[in-house]
Amino acid sequence: MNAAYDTGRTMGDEMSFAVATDLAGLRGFVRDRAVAAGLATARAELLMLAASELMSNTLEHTGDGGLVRVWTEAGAVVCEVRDRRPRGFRPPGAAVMPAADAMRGRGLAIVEQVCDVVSTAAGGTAVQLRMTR
Amino acid sequence: MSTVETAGRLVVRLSGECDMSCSDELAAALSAAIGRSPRTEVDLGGLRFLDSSGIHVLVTAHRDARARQAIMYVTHAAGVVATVLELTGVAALLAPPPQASGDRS
Repeated sequence: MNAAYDTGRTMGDEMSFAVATDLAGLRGFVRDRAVAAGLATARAELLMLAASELMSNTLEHTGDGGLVRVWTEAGAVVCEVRDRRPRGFRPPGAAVMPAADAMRGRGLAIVEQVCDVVSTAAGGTAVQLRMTR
Repeated sequence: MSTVETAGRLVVRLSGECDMSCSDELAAALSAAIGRSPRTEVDLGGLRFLDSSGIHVLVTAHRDARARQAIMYVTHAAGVVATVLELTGVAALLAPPPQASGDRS
């Protein structure tokens, strides 16, 4: 296993996750870095929510973990979630929020709704979430 | 998570953070409550985080309650928990019935 995916390891502005019980710590990491980068708390918590949904999606669909990084760009905070799915896996296109009484299918629609920009990177092996600050 | 019986309903109080690591526990608690009482209030006042897996548990429990002619609703959502319920449209689905407005106090 790639050392970069070791559970809970913190390397500067990135942190890895491998199991569901890692998610709470990763959420705190994303929120705190986003606030430190200048996002209002409510906006930082939306970024945290979106990152959590992507991490859950990775755990649920790959049975493996991934890596989260947070950095700043001019006018924006960026959070990237990367996993081991093959290059080109993620198709473009926004997820649509299902009906209120639907039993599932909300995770990626929540990501699309709460972030200012959602894009893929690294040949589709990573999703980048941008929040204007 | 705790369940208390009060004034003709069961109140399931959630605290902390609800994600895929605790959604099974939440599903079991709600299923038990709905099986015991015709009215179940899910008090979200102590909950700091709720994701889509928790929402799916709440929606499924709400559907199960309806199938049993029972009522299940949520109260006291705040912060990012209230936000995610609103933007998914689930806040309206799980709103207290009009006659339960006194439960909000």
